[in-house]
Order: sequence, then C-alpha cells, then structure tokens
Amino acid sequence: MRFWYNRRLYRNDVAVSEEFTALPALAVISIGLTLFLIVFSSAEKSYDIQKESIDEYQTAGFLLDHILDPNAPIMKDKGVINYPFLNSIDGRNYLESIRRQTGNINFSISLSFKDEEHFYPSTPCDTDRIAVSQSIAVYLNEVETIPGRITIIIWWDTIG
Amino acid sequence: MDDKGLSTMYDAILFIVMISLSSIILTPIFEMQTINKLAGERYRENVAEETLHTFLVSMPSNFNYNLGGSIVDTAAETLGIDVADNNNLYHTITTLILGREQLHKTYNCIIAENLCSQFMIPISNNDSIKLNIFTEDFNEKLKDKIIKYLLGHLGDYNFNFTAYWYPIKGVHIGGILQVGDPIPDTTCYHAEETFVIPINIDFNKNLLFNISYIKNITGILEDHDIDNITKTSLSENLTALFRGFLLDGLLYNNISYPSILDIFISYGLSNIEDAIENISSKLINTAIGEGLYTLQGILGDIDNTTYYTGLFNILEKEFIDYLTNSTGINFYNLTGIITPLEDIIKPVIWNILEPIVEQLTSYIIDEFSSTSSNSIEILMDLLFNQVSTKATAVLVVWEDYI
Repeated sequence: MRFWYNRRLYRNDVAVSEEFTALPALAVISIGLTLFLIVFSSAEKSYDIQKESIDEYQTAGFLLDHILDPNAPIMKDKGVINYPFLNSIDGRNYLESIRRQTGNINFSISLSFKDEEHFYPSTPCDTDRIAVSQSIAVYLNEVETIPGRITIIIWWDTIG
Repeated sequence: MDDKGLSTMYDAILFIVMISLSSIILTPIFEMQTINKLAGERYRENVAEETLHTFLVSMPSNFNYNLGGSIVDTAAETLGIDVADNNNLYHTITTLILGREQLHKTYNCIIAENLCSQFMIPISNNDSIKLNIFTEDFNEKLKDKIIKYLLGHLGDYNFNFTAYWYPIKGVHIGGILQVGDPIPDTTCYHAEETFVIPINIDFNKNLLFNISYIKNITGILEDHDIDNITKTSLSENLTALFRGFLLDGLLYNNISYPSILDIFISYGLSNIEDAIENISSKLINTAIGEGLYTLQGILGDIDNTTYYTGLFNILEKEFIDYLTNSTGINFYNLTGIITPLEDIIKPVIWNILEPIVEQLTSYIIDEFSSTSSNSIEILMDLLFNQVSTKATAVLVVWEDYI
C-alpha cells in the first residue's frame, strides 16, 4: 500500500479499467440516435400523410364544385338541385360525361333528404374512399323544394 | 508525444443534448391541433353560408296564419268568448274566414312579403312601431317556422337570424324580422344574402333631369367656376334635391313627383286598407249561414244594418286607436291620415339623414371641382344609391363555449 500516498491526487495514474471502455458511451449514443431517427421519420411521415390527405380532400371539393356549378343541367338554380333531371337518363349521361373527364378518379353522388338517400350513378365501391358533403336545396317538383345534403364519394381506380 | 489524456462521457452527453433539442424543435409537427382547428373553422364558415342559402330557396311544408287574428281575438275576449280553445265554433269560424295559407312559395318570397307588410315607422329617435297590426299572427308564425328550421339544421350551434328591409338606407323605416340569441362578442361566422321584394320602386331617371334643382346645378356648373359663393348655392341645391327625393317630393312641371317616403307610406296604408277590406268582404262572401250570423252578432255594431260595415268599422277603429296611442296625435279615420303621419315621421328621419346628406354633398362638390364630365351621372348614382330595393337576410352562427 505504499504507493497510495506517494502520489498526488491529480496526477494519480493508478486506475482500474474494464475491458471495453467505450461501451457505456456507445450505448447511450445508439439509444440517442435511434430515438432521433424515430422522431425524424415520424415527422416526415406525418407531413407526407397530411399533404396527401389535403390533396385528396381538395380534389373531392373541386369535383363537387364542378358538378354543382349553377350552369350545370342538374342544377336548377344556385344551391338548388333538380331532382327529376338527376333521376332521368339525361342526368345519368351528364354524370357519365363528367366521369370521362376525371381520369382515374371514380365518384358517386349521394343525395339525402327527408329520410331517403339516393346514389348516382351507382352505389360506391368498397375500397378506400374520400367523401365531402354540403347542404343543398332539392327541387322535387313545382311545389316542393326541400333542404337536403349532397355528398360526393371518390375513390381511385386501381390500374389494370 | 504526450500520452496523458482525459476521457469523459461529455461528448456522448453533448450528443444526447443536441438530439433532444432537435426533437423539441420538431414536436409541433406531431401536434396537428392548429391545423385541425383551422380546418374546423373553415367548415363552420361554410355552414353559415350554405345553411342560409339553402334555407332561403326551400319551401316550407305548410305555413298558414290568421290575418288580423289577434285583433279579432281581443274583441271577442272582451265579450267573454274563450279564444284559446281550439275546438270551439269561434276558432273554426275565424280560421275559415281569416285564415291565409302561403302555398308554394320559397322562404325568401314569404319573408320579403312579411317585411313589406310590416309598415314600420320611427316615431322618435330611438323608437319605431310596426303599424300593420293585422299581420301580427303572420310575424309570429313565420318566426316560429324559421326557428324550427334553423334549430333542425344548426342544432350544435347558436344562431341569430335577421332579415330587414330599409327603403331609405340608414333609417329604420320598413320592416325587420329577428329570431335567435343576441350576438355575443366571441368569434362568429357571418353569412349575408339579398333578395328582391314585391314592391316596385321604379323611377324614370330621365324625368329627374328636368327637376329645378338639377337644372340649377347644371347651370351653375356650366357657367361659373367653383368658388365659395357657388359652393354654398350648390350645397343648398343638393341638400334640397336629396331631401325632396327622399322625403318631401319633387316638383316637375307643376306635377308632384312622390318621394320615397310618400311611396312607402301609401303602400303601407293601402296594405292596411286591403287587409281590413279583405277581412270584411270575406265575411260576406263566405256563406256559412248561422256561423256568419253568430260571428257578426259577436263582433258587429248592433245599430248597423249590414254585416260588412260593422266589422269594417271595428277593425278600422282598432287601427286608428293603435295609431293614436302610439304617436300621441289624434287620428279620426283612414282618410286624411297621410299628411299628419308624415309630419310626425319627417323630422325624425331628417335628423338621421342630415349628417349623411351633408357628407354626400361635400363629396359631390369635391367631385364637381375636380372632374367636370359625368358629374351629373355621379350625382344621380349617389341619389339612387340611397334607396334600397332589396331586402337583406343575415345569419350569424357561433359556438357555445361553456
């Protein structure tokens, strides 16, 4: 034990060392790096999802605005939809013509008033879809114009 | 070569600290609250606009009211008839004779008719009264319908719906309909729409060019430069023109050109006369035998021989009494009502209009000094701008934060 009080404290070369001195530091760093990568990738992913979702809802909104344009034949006036016309063959043809313009986006319109709900041109597919709705007045006949809700449901056609 | 060294964990700790800082910087991306809140607010703004437009263009399912209902009820009550019972003969007879049904009209037509029939006039600076007492039931039933519709479509929100028509802008003359809670100071979403009214306020603008004030003004503008003397003369002529157009009436070739106020009052009074006459003549045209005799016996003047005159006189008397009580001036019958009524209303309206007209005149004189061409066109535009030929409906929607 003689060599203990021979040395000064700050110049003490006596030490105990284990085999891998870098391991604790390495552990802390790897945990830190993993956490950082998790944070970063979540941020990127959520930003991506949000951007895509805004894009999809905007597409649905624009399509609904296009269909409900006051000059369209299915609209009787601004904010009033012509129900007899929508039910007729001309109405279906009009919706088909719009469908041809939209490329790989397929859509279906749901009109609900009183206690009924109708789909034009047909009921929607069961894949992933996006819906946007708006309140609207429905012109049933000369003496009845009642409030209702119109919803557009869009989904993307898979290729092939 | 220096073999001495020092090993610490400080660099690892520094690394961890840097990573934590960058995570803190990135955390706002995880909290989508602001974005969701903004998306929700945009939806709420659209709710107000869409609901208002859809409401105005739809038709009510069945809407009927009793013309003059409350007046006749009051008269009947003083004679001991139970007016609240919905199953007795009185109720059946009055619904048959006085009932009106509004069929196949959209809400904006019905509201426009109601606003035009209210005949609201200001009688002092803070007070206005609705002169058409025969349409009280119409007002109440329409308000009920509106509340029911809006509660059904806006159940989650609080709302306030106001529809008004002020033929002279800035003056509370015309008609107003208000339902809902008072508007709070918090964030509200506001939607507004205008629609046409059934009264035709049509002017031949060309006739106005020959009015003496306009001739004076054109004369001044052509001959002189604008200096202080012409300014006073111009402003006098302009004020007289505005006042004549809106309140007093204008002379053209010794023919009186009615003012907006004249048109409004004669329209309102003709509505009231029509209402009284319709009630009385329906009584005659509906032959229901004993029922007719019973109603007339209840309400008629015992001395008079004809049923028609009896009911007509009672209703006319009710209206005249109401007018006398509200304005404090004695009226005696329906003829010769216009001038004393206008004498009450004109000072009140001119109080409100005078500052507006002053501002307009100084603006017009500035326009005259700067550009000489199309000055009269500007003047005519400003003149006709003071008249509003459309009614406005305003829907305000807000959330209840508890």
